[in-house]
Amino acid sequence: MITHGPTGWRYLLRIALGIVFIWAALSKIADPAGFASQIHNYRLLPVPLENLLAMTLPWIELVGGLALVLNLSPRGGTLLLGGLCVVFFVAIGQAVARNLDIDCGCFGTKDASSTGWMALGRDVVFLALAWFGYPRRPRDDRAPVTRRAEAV
Amino acid sequence: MNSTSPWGGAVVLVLLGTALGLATNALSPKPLDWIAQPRTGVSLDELTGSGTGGAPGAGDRPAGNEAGKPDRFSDIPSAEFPIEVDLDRTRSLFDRGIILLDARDKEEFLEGHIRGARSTPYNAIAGDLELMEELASHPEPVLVYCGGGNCELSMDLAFELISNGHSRVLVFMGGYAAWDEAGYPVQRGEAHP
Repeated sequence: MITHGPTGWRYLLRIALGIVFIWAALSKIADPAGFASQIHNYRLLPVPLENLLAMTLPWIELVGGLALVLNLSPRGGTLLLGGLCVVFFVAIGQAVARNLDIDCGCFGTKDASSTGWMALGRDVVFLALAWFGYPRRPRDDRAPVTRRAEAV
Repeated sequence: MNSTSPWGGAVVLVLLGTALGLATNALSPKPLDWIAQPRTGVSLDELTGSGTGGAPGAGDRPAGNEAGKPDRFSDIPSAEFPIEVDLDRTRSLFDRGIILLDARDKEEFLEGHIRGARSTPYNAIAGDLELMEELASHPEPVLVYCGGGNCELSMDLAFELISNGHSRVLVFMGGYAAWDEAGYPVQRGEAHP
């Protein structure tokens, strides 16, 4: 029996995206107060909601990343993380438009990168990972399998 | 968890992440406040227990900081929060030569600022770690102001300086508007030494 592997490259893109978001989430989970301060600097949310976002967003990123790395929810996970990329693009974009030279907060409080075109470009790359990694066909949901020839 | 609906899968992940985040905060030894409060400081009078403004009296805490260097601002205590001061106290500190930081945008600074103030527009420098550390390393107190009223920039800059290690950061709540209205010394254009 010969089994065909699905388009494994989409799976690999999802893995890469999942790892990025897991990495980003862990540093924010380690310092929620610092992350809340970074959210405040964007001046997008009403102050009362800033802490709630700081508490929950990193965990949503972590769960989404794990869902992709472990292939538990390829479509849902890719949709979620791709959606977050769009949200981050808008947030960073408005900071750039308003000349806010603030901590990006993309990878937690230890991330020294500030908002700017580099952060926007990085976000576009992640969005591309989500776009191209999204499973188009049912077999794209599965992890790659190796061909096995049936012993005669 | 291979849902036929990707939207359903995404919603489940969001709910799971949200629940984990809220639960983790509830169990944390240093939880965030559920509802964030606007950033505020503490009044200098509350900190020092006095109701008077103006220059320090003779019985104030002994002056001196590192290596016996006289501390011109020994009446300003250390605090974990920004110290709010009013117009009279700000004028007194101005006369004594306190370092002034203007947190407004550069354009507003150029249109008019307290004489001798340094332009440190918070929105433009919040991501500059080196500058923040340099500002936070001043051994003497610094006084931050912005436009007054609902202006949050001075408080944001003050909290940022404190998080970078400064322990004596004052905030003039009346801002440039109150200072100018009182007819106190102002400058226009770039800062002059």
